[in-house]
Amino acid sequence: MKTKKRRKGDASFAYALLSPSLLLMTLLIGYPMIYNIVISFQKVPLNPRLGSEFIGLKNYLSVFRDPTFYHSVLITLLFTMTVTILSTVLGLAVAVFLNREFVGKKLVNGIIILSYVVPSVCLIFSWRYMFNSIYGIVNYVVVDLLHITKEVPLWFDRPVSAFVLVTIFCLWRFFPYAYMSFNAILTSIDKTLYEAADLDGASPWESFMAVTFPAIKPTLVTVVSLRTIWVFYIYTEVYLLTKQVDVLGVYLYDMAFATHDFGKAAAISIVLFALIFALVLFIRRKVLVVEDE
Amino acid sequence: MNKKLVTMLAIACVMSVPVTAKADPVKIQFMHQQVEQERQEVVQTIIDEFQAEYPDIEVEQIPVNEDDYDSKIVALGGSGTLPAIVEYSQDQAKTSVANQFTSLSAVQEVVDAVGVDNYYEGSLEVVKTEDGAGFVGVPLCGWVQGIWVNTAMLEEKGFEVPTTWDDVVAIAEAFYDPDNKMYGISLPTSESAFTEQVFSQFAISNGANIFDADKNVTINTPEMKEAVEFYRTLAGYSMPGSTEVADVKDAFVSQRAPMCMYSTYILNAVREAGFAEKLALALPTKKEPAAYGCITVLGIAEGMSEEETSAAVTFVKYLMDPAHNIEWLNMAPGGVQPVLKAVSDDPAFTELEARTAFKELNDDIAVAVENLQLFGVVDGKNFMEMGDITNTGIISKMMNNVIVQQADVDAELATAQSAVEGLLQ
Repeated sequence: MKTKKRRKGDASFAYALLSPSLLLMTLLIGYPMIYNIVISFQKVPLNPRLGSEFIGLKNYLSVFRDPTFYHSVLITLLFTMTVTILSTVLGLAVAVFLNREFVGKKLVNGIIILSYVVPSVCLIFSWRYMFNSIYGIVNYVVVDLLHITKEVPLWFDRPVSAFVLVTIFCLWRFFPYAYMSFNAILTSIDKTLYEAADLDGASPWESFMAVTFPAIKPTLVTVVSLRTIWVFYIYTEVYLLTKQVDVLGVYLYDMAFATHDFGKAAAISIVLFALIFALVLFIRRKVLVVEDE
Repeated sequence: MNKKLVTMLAIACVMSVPVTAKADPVKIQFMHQQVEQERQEVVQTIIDEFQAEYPDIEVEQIPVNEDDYDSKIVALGGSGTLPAIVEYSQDQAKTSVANQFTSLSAVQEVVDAVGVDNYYEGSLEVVKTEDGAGFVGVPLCGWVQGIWVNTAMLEEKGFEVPTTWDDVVAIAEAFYDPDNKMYGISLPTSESAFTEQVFSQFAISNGANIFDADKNVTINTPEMKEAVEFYRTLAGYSMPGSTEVADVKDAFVSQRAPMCMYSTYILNAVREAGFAEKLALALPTKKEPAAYGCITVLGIAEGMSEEETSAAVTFVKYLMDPAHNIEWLNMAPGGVQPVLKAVSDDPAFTELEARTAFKELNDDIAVAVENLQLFGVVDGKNFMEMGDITNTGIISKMMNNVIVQQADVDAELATAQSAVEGLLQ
């Protein structure tokens, strides 16, 4: 009886201590989320004095009736999967390869993370200059030097080549994040485990699966989850490089923000939230097989 | 005791006299995009001079970066805290009027005080309200866009400055030599507002517009089709692919093309490239000449107290005085142009060192401001939905599809027509 009372008292005390954080979270996360849901059912004017109008499911229906929305969803899923998988694999491969001592390791580390720390807009405009039809180095090599084509290829104007180039750009830009995450965890693995695997006659692949993979799996789950979310909502890199890759971030901007239709923007963002939530859950449960604790 | 009380009351009365006699100045804020330190200093000088003349008004400047400007207007307007005076582009001003952020009566008061006849007609025409009865802001300055011509290059092949569509095509054809990276004209073809702006000049010069006077959508018309096909022909002599602002400017400034479609903001680059004296400005002309341009206006906020509105009106009138207007224009010589006729001939404007190289162009630029025409402005009506049409990129997408993606003109015109009709619904 006494213990039960004490437990109840402890719980109340714990809640009292947590209450400032809970209040802050409710204000900073809960309120905007609820407000977003509310305005997704409204036609919202820019001027607050004019008042919002309840329009039911109209915002959602206009999204679901738009064929370009489904096209954007497919492009985004393909783009997200490609970039997430390739950037994670590349980051992991480089981290494993460089997981040893050698002269100039810090310099190599610095060079690798360069594309991640330089502002996106600088990199994007560098790429655009590289592919410029008059001055671009790529076209100079392809057309003037090697004479592979007679006319300048329209790299960012054709959907397939634009998709491939934006994917390569994002790979180059994002793989250092995976590299840094895996590099940190790889340095903490006890080297004797590899020696033991070696003594047991394990091949490099078996050694990777038996020692490295279990150690990096929690980091892998985090990297894949975060990268999936970030790439799913990508806007700047795609929009500034090409208009031929219709990802959802661009769709959201074109359909809602360009016309200041905040109600529709809220509806799209909720649909996207549901999609990304399902996608991350699917990856964690089915692909990376993470058990709930 | 009574004596003490009376004395204290007397002292209190004496001390309170100066406080009640001198009222606090009316404080207003002025939001603008002149973020560079030297420009802020110019704005502050104008404010200081104004405050010396009107000590009962206090103006605080709020410079905001161009990139954040739209979101700032939306955020401040949305929270009901928009500054008393806001510098807008004509499109931002339309959005603000549509959302009732701007006091149309206060704007009208200033325009009337300045005098409608003292403005270039084109600059007022494009900032009219939808019903044509008022103005979305007080025109302060502007920039215009047309065909910039390198006359030295033209002379080499025996051409003169073009005056018709056919002239433009003939020159472009004569100079087009892509193997040697030479082009006939540089113009935009990307999915961007710039493409729509440039194309609008050709369409309007052929009598085509997005709406008719009754607000019917008129994209799918023979005039518009002719303009689209002409632009496609012209783009065939330009650089390949989707070209944007930097591509167009670079090609002309590096003299890889004798003509380009650009705004007056090209003037400084041309001066630095060393052929300022060989520059001419032409306007696309078929049925009529048409210049595109952007008029910067000052909006006065709705919902302020009478004193604040009056103070804002007084300050905007002060800025529109030719002497102070020139101070504003001289902040960025080359790019921004006057909207007041009196300013164009004023030596304080024309004799500025950075501007003397283009003295010969002043008349051409004035003609362009006079002939300013925009998509969505028809018979004195300025349809506010044009801003949304531009923002959603319907017209530039149509142009890019026709030119770069080689889509069928008729199909694209029909698609754009129904897209705009859908947007209006």
